[in-house]
Amino acid sequence: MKATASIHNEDVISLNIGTDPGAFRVFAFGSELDYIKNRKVTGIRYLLGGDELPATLQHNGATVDTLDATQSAALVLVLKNSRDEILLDHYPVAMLSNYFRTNSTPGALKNDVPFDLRHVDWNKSYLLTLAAISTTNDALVQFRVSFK
Amino acid sequence: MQAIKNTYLIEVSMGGSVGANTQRRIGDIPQLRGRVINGIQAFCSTEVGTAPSGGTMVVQADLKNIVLTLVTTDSNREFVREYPIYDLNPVLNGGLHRELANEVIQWEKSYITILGTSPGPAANEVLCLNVHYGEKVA
Repeated sequence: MKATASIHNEDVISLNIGTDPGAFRVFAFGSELDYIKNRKVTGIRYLLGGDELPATLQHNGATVDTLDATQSAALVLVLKNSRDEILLDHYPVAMLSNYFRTNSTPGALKNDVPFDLRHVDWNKSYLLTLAAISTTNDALVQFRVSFK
Repeated sequence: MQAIKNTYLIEVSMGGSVGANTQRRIGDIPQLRGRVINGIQAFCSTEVGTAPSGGTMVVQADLKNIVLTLVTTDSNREFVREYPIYDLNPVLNGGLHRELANEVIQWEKSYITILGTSPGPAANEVLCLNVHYGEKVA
């Protein structure tokens, strides 16, 4: 039996993008993942609100919304390396969810999108909203980053 | 699936007037000149709600009537001819993306063909192609 993708090390980076974020807003990741900048990023996973995560979560003592498939389709990810070269150019965030990629078929595909991203500079990397997103609470976007 | 090292998102506009059997050139992509292309994905409004340029995205049903022709720099060869865009969308393809055999593409000679408009894209809508690229060889 083929095993699912193995995870060597994984960390979670969370971005609070606020309530009702507007279109073309940029949210920088900051320095939280600086410690893995010399490691190879092999996977980035994202989970859909409502389908893979509860519609709301408790985060740092506050109630936050997770984003469903339609809301997530308004988000793209731009990852740069330390030489300011763009590694991932406007990569759709929803496509980092296996559930979404398999047309909302639970368990259809367990293998994550394989990446080989070197020297990601998280300080220069960002999340971009392409359209306004309507939320009740602050929205939380979390990426599960696997690295070697 | 081959690991993704670099991606570049191309927006292909359907232009001001759309009819059956019309071609739209992709145009020169300076970032991809001389780069080996090893994978490609096509996105519609399901994956990308609005084009990064702000344009309206084509919808999923429209993908059935769009095909892609890629021309290589090597002797103007049509490396991929009229490949169904529908098959390049991972959501419609079991979550997998198509890999390409490490060719350098002449983007200014490559094009999409709109086979029909019912279903099909409307004027000025945008199709996004996410190109996975590697080393520069030229």
